[in-house]
Amino acid sequence: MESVYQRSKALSAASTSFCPGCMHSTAVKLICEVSEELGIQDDLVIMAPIGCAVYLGVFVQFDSFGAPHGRPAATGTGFKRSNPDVPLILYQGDGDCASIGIAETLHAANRGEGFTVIMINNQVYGMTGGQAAPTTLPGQKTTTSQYGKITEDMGDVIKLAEIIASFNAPKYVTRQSLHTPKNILAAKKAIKKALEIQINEGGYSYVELMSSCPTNWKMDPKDTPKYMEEVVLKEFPVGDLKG
Amino acid sequence: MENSYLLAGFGGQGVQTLGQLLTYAASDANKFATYLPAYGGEMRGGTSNCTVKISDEQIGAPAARNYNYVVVLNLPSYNAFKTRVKPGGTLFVNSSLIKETEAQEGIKLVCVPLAELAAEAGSAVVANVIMFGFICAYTDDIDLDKAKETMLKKMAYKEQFVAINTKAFELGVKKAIELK
Amino acid sequence: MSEKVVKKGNEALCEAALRAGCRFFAGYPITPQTTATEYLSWRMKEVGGVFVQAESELAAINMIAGSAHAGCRSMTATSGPGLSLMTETLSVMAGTRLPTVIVDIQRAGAGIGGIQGAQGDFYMVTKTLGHGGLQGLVYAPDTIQESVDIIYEAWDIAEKYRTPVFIMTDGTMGQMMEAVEIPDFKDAPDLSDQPYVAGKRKDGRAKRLITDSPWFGSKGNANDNMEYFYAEYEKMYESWEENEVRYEEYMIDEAEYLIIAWGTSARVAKTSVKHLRNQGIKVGLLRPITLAPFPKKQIAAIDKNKIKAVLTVEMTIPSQFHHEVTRYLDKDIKVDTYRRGGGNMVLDEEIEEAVKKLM
Repeated sequence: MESVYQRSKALSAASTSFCPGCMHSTAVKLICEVSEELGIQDDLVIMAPIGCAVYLGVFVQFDSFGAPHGRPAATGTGFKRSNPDVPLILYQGDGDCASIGIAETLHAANRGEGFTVIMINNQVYGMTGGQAAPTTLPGQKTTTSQYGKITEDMGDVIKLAEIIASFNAPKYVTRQSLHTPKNILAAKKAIKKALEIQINEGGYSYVELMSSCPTNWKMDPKDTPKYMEEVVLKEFPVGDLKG
Repeated sequence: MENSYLLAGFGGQGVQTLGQLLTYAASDANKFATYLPAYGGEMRGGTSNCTVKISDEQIGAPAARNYNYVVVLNLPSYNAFKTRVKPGGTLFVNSSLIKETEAQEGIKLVCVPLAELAAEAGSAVVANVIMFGFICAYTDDIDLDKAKETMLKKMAYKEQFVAINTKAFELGVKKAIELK
Repeated sequence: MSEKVVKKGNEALCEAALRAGCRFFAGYPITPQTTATEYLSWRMKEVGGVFVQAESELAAINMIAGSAHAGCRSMTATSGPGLSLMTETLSVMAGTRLPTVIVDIQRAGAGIGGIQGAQGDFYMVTKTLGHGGLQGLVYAPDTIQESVDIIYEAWDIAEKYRTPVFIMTDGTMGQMMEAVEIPDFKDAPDLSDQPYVAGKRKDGRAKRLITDSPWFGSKGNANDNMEYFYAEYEKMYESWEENEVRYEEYMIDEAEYLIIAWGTSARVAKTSVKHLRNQGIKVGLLRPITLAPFPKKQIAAIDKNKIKAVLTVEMTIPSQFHHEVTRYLDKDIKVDTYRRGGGNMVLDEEIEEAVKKLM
């Protein structure tokens, strides 16, 4: 019988620790599939973030190391500069990338460091229990914005992809989403393109993936795609911003 | 034998280079030497100073309360450091800029007309090299031939600088012998 | 070939680092460290290494961690405020057991403080690296030559124990010049087999799951594994006290008085010892070269029947080093301290007066 689909060999046997309905697992799966398609499953190194994906290294078959919260772009800079031949992914969340680590993220992008950032944007701090992030939508209820996020108080939404796309150095900047099969296929294409650029030309690439957090949104997973389509993506439109 | 130097002037008079030259030259002459710059506010104008120690043995403290030789090239430095000479020590003043000096008991005062010597050398830029020659000849801390060799190595990295630096060094030496 | 040159302390230290095989430096300019960063900005490229001027000390320390994960000998240098910013990652490095070299060119005071040399980072660096209570090896040279010799072997030691290694100098040692013998270039070892190094998985080797905390192991859950491994780390720190303690005894023959000091204070005290000996006063100097491990046994062994009094000297107020010395010193020995603060350098005459007061 012809095999039309199989589990990526780059995924480990361990099951993930992500909540039911969380789109982190989709993102991890896409990275693993792309690594196989590009034939780099034995070469790719991935940085695990502080956040829900802190155990990322358990779920995949790549070498992995971490960094303190917010610092992957600096740690990744040191790694990639010392070992430019190794493809490197920085797997980060929106709190990591756009809040505590925005300085490192922007400076690394502006220097054009030769790695790929995969940023999972779910608009909350997931692991710590759903606090407001710089990506939290105006009016959105979180455990630190219990009456809805007031932008005059907490600031408006930070659109990191747009900021990074304004720099000269980055080769590829895109925002994709994981809420429908069509979007997932587009996200996979984007991850593949980012890694191809890293491997073939060198340079910085940034792929922001809109994701869900049913647990902290206090939403049934099956309702999250509709909410993302109708509300979230209005604020964070998908598409290529550069390259 | 250990001698200590405090060198001071305004930024641009080359006292840091002077201090480094003494250190290089002493080291080339197989002595121990340390140079310690005062850094910080001095970089933004005002006085600049450094300390140098030259010894036959390994040097511990790179600075001191008082010094065998205090070299002051401008008036603020004279006012700040004139009391920092050890009993029996020598105070070298740039008499071109420091017109009025007071005698201190037990301290030898030596006036060096640096501007006149620089005019004779043909450039104000080499004032610190004149002073370097002067100090070496006056204190006998460093062999003169060695000192000149070191100075040319550090200062005259281009052929066109050899003549003027040599002249400046020798003018300093001559003046020191005259005043000694 | 090794060569004798007259060089600034910071520059000599950096040159020796390159000769020791360091090929990655990241730093953020801060006085009195700037001459180190400036020097390596051009010199590192000459030897084929990587220099990155980081956007902050936070970034710098993480960059050198990343480079170490790539199997490269990496280092940074900073001073007080920058060191405070680095502490989180120092903790991470101690937890990951990452061999790196950090040079602390100390400046005065807390906060912005002052930019003159001082010794106020003693507790901060020697007691624990950041949060969590883990440690590193800490060296405190008192001459430019010694700083060169120490950094030349710093990575060998760091890799032997898989630990961050600190070298503590100060503004005085960093800015001053003296003659120094710079050693020959040596090759860094191939570290690609090390468990903390990530890279291409050749010949089907298993993936490396590198974490800053030893969550994984045979002891049950993450807490149990961390508890077990931290106890193992403690055994390593205790072994340092047996095997890695370094100190210098200076003119201690028949000494009746003893000065105990480190770094710049100690080198100034050497001048005092010479002067006092010339005056017939039998004084010597004990100088810890390693601050962690601290020469506890050597201080505890100071004989109250021979030594009438001890003077500690340090360039920071409130006391730090003094308290550490008195923890181990025989309680029957009279002890006092002489300190300068605010970035004032301690002077030999002042130490001599303090010794005479003890007599």
